[in-house]
Amino acid sequence: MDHNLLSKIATNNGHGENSPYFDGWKAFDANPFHPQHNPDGVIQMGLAENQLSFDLIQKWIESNPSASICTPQGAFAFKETAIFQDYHGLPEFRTAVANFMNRVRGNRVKFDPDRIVMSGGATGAHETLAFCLANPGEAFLVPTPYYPAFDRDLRWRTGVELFPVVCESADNFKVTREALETAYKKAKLANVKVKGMLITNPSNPLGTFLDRDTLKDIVNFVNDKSIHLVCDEIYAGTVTNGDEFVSIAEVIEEVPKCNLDLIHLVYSLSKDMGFPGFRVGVVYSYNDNVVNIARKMSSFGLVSTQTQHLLASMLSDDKFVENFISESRIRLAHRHDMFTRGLAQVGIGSLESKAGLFFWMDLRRFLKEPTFESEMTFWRVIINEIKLNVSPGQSFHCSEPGWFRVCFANMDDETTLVALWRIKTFVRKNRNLEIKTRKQYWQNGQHLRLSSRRLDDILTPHRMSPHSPLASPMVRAQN
Amino acid sequence: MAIEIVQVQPSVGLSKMAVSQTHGEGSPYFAGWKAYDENPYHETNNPSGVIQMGLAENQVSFDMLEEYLETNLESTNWGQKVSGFRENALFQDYHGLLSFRKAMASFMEQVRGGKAKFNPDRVVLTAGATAANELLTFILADPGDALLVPTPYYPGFDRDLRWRTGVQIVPIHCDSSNGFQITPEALEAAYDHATKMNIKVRGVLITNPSNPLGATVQRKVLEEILEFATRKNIHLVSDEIYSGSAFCADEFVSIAEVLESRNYKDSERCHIVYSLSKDLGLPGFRVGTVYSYNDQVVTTARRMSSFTLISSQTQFLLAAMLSDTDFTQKYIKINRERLKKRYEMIVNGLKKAGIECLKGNAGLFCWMNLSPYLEEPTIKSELAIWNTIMHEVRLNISPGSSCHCSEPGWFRVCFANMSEETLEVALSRIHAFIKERKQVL
Repeated sequence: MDHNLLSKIATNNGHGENSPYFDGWKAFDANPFHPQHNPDGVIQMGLAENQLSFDLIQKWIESNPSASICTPQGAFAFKETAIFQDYHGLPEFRTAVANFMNRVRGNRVKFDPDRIVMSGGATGAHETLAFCLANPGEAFLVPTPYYPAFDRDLRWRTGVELFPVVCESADNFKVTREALETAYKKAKLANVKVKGMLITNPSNPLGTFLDRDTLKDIVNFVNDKSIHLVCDEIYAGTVTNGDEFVSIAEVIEEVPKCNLDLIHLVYSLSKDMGFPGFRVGVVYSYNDNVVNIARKMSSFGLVSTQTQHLLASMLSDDKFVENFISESRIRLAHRHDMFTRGLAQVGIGSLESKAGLFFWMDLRRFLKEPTFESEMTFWRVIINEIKLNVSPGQSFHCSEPGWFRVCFANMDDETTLVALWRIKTFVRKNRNLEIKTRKQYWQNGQHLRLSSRRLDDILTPHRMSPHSPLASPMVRAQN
Repeated sequence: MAIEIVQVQPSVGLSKMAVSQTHGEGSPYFAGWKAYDENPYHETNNPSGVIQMGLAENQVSFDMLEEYLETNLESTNWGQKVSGFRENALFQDYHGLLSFRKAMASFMEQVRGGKAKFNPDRVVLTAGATAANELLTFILADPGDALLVPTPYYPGFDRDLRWRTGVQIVPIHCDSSNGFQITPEALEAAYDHATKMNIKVRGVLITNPSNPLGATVQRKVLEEILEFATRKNIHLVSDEIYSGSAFCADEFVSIAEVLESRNYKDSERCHIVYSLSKDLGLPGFRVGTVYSYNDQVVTTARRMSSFTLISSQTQFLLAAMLSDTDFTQKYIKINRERLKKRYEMIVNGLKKAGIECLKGNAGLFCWMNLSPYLEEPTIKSELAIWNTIMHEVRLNISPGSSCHCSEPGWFRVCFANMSEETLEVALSRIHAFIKERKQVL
């Protein structure tokens, strides 16, 4: 039976697995690190998982046996749970999820349980929204760099297109009004019909979150153009200082002219709670029609009632939820810090960020040339010599080469130290790179342009901000 | 399943797909649900309420599942280690838990009495058969193409196969003259009809055992369908979600057996859909599978399953349960016996009331013939009597027209989602209704 007998969707590359993003996985799969069994293996730093707070959940499960339908205390609920297939979902599940979502946002917002629609993870949620909001050939604007799998989730089976909103390091990769307008105009010129915009806040891969003004700008932008806004807030619970995070749910209340029918949220428990296996995705829309249609579509990806039942119990335990959220944030911040400080000791900087399960590492000065080929070459060095699977910026559609996403929450402390040690060792071995840069500064008297405070900035271990002279394209150009 | 009937206003800014009615919830099939939701029968609290006979659920064997759980809680629970829970909660590999795939393959073999072998590496997991059917359609057909489906068929196919895929259904007309069996002539006629309309046919999708007929497809017919698919060079999808509900194991023949007996010749065009919603009565857990003999379909289906994976928590629970072959052997056997008993009860009860049913041998429902009681042999009359049954007799049954049956007057009546007592009540209501009706006609 020949190839032609499958559909176009089945035979195109829409699944996205031919992207280099997955080469690192293959290297890891072939030679996975294990502290005892394979200490020279590849350490997985390309997987954005939150593994730091399972003990809290385990403790809760042990103290709440009736939440599981597989315990003597909980088995009485087995039958009614197993039979329930209503796509509205268990009401107590929706209420509990809404409650969790509220608390992640410090109770500054109140989500309506009746607007919560289930989906097969955030993966399913994004696809469902694309099916609901856009016709094949129509496009969503997406700020770069963005999560590689959006190419598959939003486009593969839907036929919808993604159109980049280019964000640059000079702006700390912020989403600016100019960038939005530029992208919109470009799309128009290319005869692409823009139907909506997708933002991830906090951002994957940047680990940053949008400030209130930027969010308002975006809301005004989508209102002006009468296009939809999908906000993926799956990392909301990873923000170090929860009070600083502004959700779209808050902003729309501050923009009175906002057409709520345009606003939709994607949420999931995979990152904030660390449950990717449970496939708990949420489509939350302020548009009644979208809630209705998405709910019908959820038949294709409902959450197992066994899981709904467990989480209904867990997430309505306010004491547990509050403690989990705050403790998880502390642990993530601590781990994040461990990495960024350690890296700064060898002069490696990253984009300043206070959220996410990863940071955006700046390796631009390690590239032979500021090209994506060089980035790829160096990435292979990282995988094959340093033996770390990190993700190259180009797989996130980053417009500038040299940036890498590094995940930090999917390993224990011991592995963290090994990873750091490997990086430091590599940098020191390849010190000629570093020395060369410094020598040039001294030789050209560049150092005289730097205030002594700035010189201290370079030499003392701390996180390098993109404003640091070492990172500045201006300095490099002069060299 | 409670379904809102909401009129969707054409909305600026939503997709065509969102505003179409292809989700099918406007169909009368769902109106009956509404009547039930508003006035559900309860033996003590609401004895005059609507009895739900439109829901194909298997509730006759839960006690066995519960008993299993009571004696096996250790293995289905994560155990006391943090790592057990953690590993499970983190597991999102779209290959699925190997132990679960093995258990599913083993269960599928047992349901077929060991007459066919299943390879765990060909088992692709999806959240329910709903997702499995849609996923296969995305893979086998392009928008505008068609799948041939024998009538009468499960109303949900209109949504599952067509809504988001853009694929069409062209019916293979079957009628009561031969017990609604699929004939080679009907296959050819459907194919020609599609061709005349300039529609490209990509496959045939059969449900075996059939919903709504409650009957297995005979071996000879399976071979004819396979021969037809091979000749036209199209796919064959066999939805076998009721395979464990065949009253006599010997009477069910799976396409897998046919293929095995031919040494898998032409198998790369064959794909099986399975689920635990009917045979095990676990619709809430969303456990479906695509089993394909085509490597490329397996790979692609697996990738697509990312949109609809099974909760690892549920995989873990069921891996334990389904690998216990003593339990599954016993379950399969006793489940069949109980369904058979239920079927005989309803069919005999209907017979006493003067109603004939199609001779069935599987499923959670019977295919009831009320055509003698229609005022005219039209869909209008069928819906009229259906309305009466819904609002006066207070039974939610499914009219054949919602299953695209070409002959008016047939109804699908579910019998496994209630107690025997409730079934008796339903039968006595029907009895009274027909008695009255006879006097009128």
